Amino acid sequence: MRYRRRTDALWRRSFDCALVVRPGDEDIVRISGGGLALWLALDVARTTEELALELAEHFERETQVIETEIADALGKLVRAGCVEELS
Amino acid sequence: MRAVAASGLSEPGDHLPGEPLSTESFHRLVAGLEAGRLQGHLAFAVEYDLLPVTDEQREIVSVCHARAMAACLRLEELLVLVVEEFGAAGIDHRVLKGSAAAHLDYADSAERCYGDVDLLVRSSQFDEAIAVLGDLGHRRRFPQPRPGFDRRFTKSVTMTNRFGLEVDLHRTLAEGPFGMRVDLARLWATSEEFSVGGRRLHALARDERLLHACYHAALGDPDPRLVALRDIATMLERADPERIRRVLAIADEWRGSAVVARAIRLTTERLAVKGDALTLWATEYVPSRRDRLALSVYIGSRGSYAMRAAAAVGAVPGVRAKLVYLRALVLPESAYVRARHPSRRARIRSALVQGKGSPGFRSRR
Repeated sequence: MRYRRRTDALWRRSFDCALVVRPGDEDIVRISGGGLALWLALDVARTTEELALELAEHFERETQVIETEIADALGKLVRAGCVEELS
Repeated sequence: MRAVAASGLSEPGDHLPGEPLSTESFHRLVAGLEAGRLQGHLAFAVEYDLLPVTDEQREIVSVCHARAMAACLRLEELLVLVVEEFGAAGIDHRVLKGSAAAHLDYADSAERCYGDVDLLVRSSQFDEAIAVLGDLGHRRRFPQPRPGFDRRFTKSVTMTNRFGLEVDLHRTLAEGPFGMRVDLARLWATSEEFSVGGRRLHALARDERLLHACYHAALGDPDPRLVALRDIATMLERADPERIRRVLAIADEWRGSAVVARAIRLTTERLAVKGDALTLWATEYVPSRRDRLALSVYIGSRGSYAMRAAAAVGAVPGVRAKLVYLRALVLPESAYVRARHPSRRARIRSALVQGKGSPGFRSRR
């Protein structure tokens, strides 16, 4: 499974967070902390493993450890309607 | 404020303070920058440590910027919706000003804040575009003076939805005589694309975008906003001599060199940026008497909508068109008069007051 930012999502970076508007939704999603680095890495479709490899270096963490956290974060972003799953 | 507005330029003239401002000064600065839609530049200055701040001040800037970005995102959502509806109706568009500048002229779109949506549409499609916006729940503040006036003569119409979000529908780039001189066909001949929310949008091509920035800064407000001047400075930093030459050639074709010269002078003076060959040209440029008179209806105490409308008569092409234009101004429909003035007499009185003191006005006393 690959993941990517929803192409119809509108967003802006503001300091250490990203603000995301999903079409037709009144709420604005705020992505901060480690989620911002993940969000920025989702400009192209990537698997969890690919994201883990890239972000492990960014966060100076073990790939296997961070992969679990990334999977969890991706699940939240998908449920929030910010990220889409691509088979 | 101007030091913050100029931060990020390669050679800003003013220097930002070396220490955090006092609480009172900082709050005044933030309030001023918010009013001037310069939150993006403030955030840039703080994030890249150009402006020293305390932790509390950084938090204030962060909240201020996030608020501005949220507003821009809502406007962008509206922009995408409007462009989609225009596309479905076969209406061409060019995104103008804020949104276009944010995506095309700044390295980070978060640096450029804006407060409305600006769209250029073709004269022949202007009425249709207004109808589409009406179907989307937008209402104009004033009707046109007479049927057909908008698509032939108007510069822009502001339409507001129930949430207070504005779409400025433009037909040309400025009010009055300089707006009438713009070669509209040229604006539609080319474009620069950008993507928002997965949709392809069209802005003016780069040269025309710089020209519009100059027109907006020089003619749009009696006291030009720093955000407009910063757009010019940003675009000029990316412009090579060949592009500058092309822009000046187009301005000459439009008989708008005086406008561009004024815009460049204002940008250099108000942002205290370092001058260059273009600044020298602008400083040494001497407008003709005709252009000085034309500029006077935009600037200072002589500037007014009535004066610009009157001054535009000379630029309306063709005798018949001039008569149609004059008739609409002198004898507008009742709905227009009622919307703008308590009575026709009040309207005439207002026009006379605005005209008094203008170079072309002679008192009978």
